[in-house]
Amino acid sequence: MNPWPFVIAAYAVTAAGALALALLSWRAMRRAEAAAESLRKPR
Amino acid sequence: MCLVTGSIWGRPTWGTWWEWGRAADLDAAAVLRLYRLYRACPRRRRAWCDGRVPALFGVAGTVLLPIIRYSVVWWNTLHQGQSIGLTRSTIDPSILWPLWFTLSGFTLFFAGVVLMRMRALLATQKLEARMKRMAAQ
Repeated sequence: MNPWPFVIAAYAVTAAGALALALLSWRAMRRAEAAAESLRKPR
Repeated sequence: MCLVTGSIWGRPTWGTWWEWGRAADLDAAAVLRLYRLYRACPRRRRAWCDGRVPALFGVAGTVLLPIIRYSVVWWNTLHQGQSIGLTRSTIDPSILWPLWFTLSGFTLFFAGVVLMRMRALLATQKLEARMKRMAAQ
């Protein structure tokens, strides 16, 4: 059995999952910090 | 990701995507139980809005970690026995160094994701505190 299609599929799943996780976390962080900043009291 | 890529790995290596039953791969089954436990955790948090309940789920999940770790030693499954010990490894050096390389990379990636989630949580708490202060004024 040729293992390469399985290796490529596993790498594709890992890369897509890692990228999605990083993007979701970054977006959640940016949104939360922007919301907190918008309510900041002017000094 | 672990379960899906493990299943993809299992097909050319052991000739099956997943195996339940007597000869089940208990290592993967234990990881699946841990995944289900952690998936259930945020739902509990939304329902009760109490940080202690998710913390209890986290502690309960750690019970599964030694089972995952030693399942290949305790039970004779499709999975090979222990490959890496404290003093020696049965893995060929040509694929051992990429293992440490990717392990380091994923550890750093995980730390980065945790830091981003922590910043989001801190900002949310800051926002809630400011809203409470504004409501009190």
